[in-house]
Amino acid sequence: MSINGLLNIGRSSLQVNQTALQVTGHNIANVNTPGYTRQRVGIETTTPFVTGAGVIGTGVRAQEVTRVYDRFLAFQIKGERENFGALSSKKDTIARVEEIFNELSGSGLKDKLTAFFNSLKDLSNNAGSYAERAQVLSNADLLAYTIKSKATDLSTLRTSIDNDVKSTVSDVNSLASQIADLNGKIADQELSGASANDLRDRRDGLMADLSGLINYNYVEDNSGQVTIFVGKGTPLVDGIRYNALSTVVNAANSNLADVYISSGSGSTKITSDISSGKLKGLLNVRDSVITGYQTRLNTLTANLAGEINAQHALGYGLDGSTGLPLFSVTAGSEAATISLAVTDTNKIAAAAANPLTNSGPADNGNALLLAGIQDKSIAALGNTNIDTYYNAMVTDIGARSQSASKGFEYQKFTRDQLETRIESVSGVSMDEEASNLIKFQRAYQASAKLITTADELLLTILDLKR
Amino acid sequence: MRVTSKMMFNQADGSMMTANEGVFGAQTRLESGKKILTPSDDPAAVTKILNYRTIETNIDQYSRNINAVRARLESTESALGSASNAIQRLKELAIAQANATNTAADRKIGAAEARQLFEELVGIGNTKTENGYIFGGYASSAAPFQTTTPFTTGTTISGEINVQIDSGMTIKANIRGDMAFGAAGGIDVLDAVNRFVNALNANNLADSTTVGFAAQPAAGNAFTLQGKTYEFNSGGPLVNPGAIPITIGAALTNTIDNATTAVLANATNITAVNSGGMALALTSTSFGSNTVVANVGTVANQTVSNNSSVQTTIGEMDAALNQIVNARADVGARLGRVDAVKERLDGVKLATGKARSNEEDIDLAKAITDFTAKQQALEAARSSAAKMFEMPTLMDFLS
Repeated sequence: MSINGLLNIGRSSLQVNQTALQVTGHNIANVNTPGYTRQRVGIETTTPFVTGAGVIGTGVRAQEVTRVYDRFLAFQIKGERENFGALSSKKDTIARVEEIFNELSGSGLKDKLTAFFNSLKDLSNNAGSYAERAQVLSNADLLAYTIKSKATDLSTLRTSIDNDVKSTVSDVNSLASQIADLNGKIADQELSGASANDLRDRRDGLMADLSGLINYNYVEDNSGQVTIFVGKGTPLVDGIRYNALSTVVNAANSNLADVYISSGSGSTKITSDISSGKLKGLLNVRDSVITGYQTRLNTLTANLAGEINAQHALGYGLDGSTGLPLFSVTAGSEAATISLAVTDTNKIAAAAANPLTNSGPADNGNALLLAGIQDKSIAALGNTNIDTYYNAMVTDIGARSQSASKGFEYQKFTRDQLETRIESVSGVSMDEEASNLIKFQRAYQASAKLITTADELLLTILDLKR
Repeated sequence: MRVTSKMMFNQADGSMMTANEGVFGAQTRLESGKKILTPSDDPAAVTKILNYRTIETNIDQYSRNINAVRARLESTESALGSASNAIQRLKELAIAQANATNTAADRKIGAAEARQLFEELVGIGNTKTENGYIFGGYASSAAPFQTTTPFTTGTTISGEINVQIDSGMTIKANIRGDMAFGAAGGIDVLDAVNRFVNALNANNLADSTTVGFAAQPAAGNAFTLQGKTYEFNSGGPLVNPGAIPITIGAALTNTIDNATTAVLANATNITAVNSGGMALALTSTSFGSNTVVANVGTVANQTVSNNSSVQTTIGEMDAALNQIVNARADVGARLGRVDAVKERLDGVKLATGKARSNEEDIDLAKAITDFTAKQQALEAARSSAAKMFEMPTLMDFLS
């Protein structure tokens, strides 16, 4: 034990406390950096001396700067972020479907449907009149146009979601490439054995972003590199390399894109293997929710046109024409193709018998039957009438949108709770850092005092010789 | 729990955001007056609202239909009223002219009035509204009646215009012209009136039927009167099975024989009269002229005309009056039914409107309270955030 030993202790303490102050400063500086994990210096004693008097300490040493980080929470929030991404995109897109069918705003399909049937009822009041006939044609035309535009809106929405899918895929690729890049840097930095804290924070942030887009599994190897698997276990990121996702147009699905991943063994389709994340939400609404409503709109249109056309064909126009359909539709895509087949008001078949020969212009027999279709239970519509079927469809969209939005709220709450817990563990507290600042500053001051003291001791000894 | 400054900022942000959303929602509801703005706000209520709206628009349409039916029935009613007045007058005329003291000249004068009334009836039958000829049935664009035979024009006037006035309920909006004025209703009113005019002009006090032939009947030709067949032979004696004298007009060279069965049950004279050279006339007061049936048989170009007497007309006018009055009563009953339905629909509409309003409209007082509460929540969030921002950290105490 020597005065030099004392000087050494002072020096080591100055160094350690300076390091600690630096880390504290780094924490304070990054208090608002997204994804930043607070850092701590591990401090330990240096190897002590063993003397006859006992074990005497030799000072302090900074062990390692580590992140204060809960690995379990980090794993848990990955799933919540994936679900959050899925529910968020689902909620937003279903809300757009709901906008198309918002009957409460008063500009929906239902009004046109009612107006059409009401004009048929008006026609039955005055079957020979041009005005009523023209009204029927104009309402029928408006109805066909509205159905068609709803169908167009739905397919446009699918296309726009498809574009969203494509841009999400390129986001995934960009994240994957950055993660692969960071993998390399982290491995390089950690070769020395030290933890690459800030790089890891950045990679964690990218992986958090990735989990919002697509569900994945990951493993971390000894070098600190993560391998990320998507789909059926194809690596998206493997060390410093990544396999890009790609989109391929599927002609069987209205030319919308399927998601593929290219790897050494070629391209694999993973569309149906994506089970969470924004992509899942988009794909689900694009390929299941909207197509469901497209089918229902088609069924509605097919039955509406079918019933009206069949009844219309049985009647007679003012000019004696018969056997004509009122609407023309293409089987299989009724809603998208419905249009008016009759343009001449005289050809509207209001009469049950030929007005030229067997009845007269006031014959409203068929108009009554046409108007009656509004209340007719149709087996293909589940034994409900057209109006009820459409109401059920609107309500169904509303319920779905509501549950998507409630599911989203719940998921947001769950995710936020976990984020808060993570923040609670890893976030920077200014009060804490301030007290650390004082703590290390005081220790630094005391260490300096120690050096002064050791210096005085040396001086005392040097003075002995005088 | 370890609380970091970021957590506090997030918390303040989040609660202000939530409070803002709350105020925005409350404001939107207050301004639109609706609780439910999109189907997802309350899908269960939306089902109800949409159903209520369907009911309401249907009722609106039914009310329009009812108004249309009312307009038709009311004009029908007034036309039939005029018709019954005209027939009433004809009946009075018939009673007056049946009086034996009236002379042929008197009857000619009566005939002029009766002809006027006949034309009035034809005019009534041709009443036209914005829906066309109301007694025309389906043939709304062509006059159903005319003043010359046939009085009923060829077009079908038997169409019944049904109008839906409630779900599953239709009502006839018209009276068939042939039921009111034609034979389909029991008596051909116009024909009866016309015959009355002719009877007055001809000064006929008894009914007769004249069967006319355009050509000389040949032996073996036959005709039927009231179910009895009469056959011509060539100069043979007339067999008169019913002991009823049948005389043959001078120009008819053939006699009638071989009547298959006894002729008329009552003592009726069948006289062939010389009318235009070739005719066989039957005279009986008991023939309702329209009950005499004659068929063409084998005689070429045979015509049958029934000549009513003034006497008969009295009974016929009674029947005609009855027919018109019945039609009018029918219209009245329908008007009553339509009104009852309208009243019911109005009640349902009121109740439905109320129910819908309950589902979708805001309770103003509640909405305002809600808005105020949300505003206060926002203020509280803001003020606590402001306090939080002002709150010093340990840093502020270190010097």
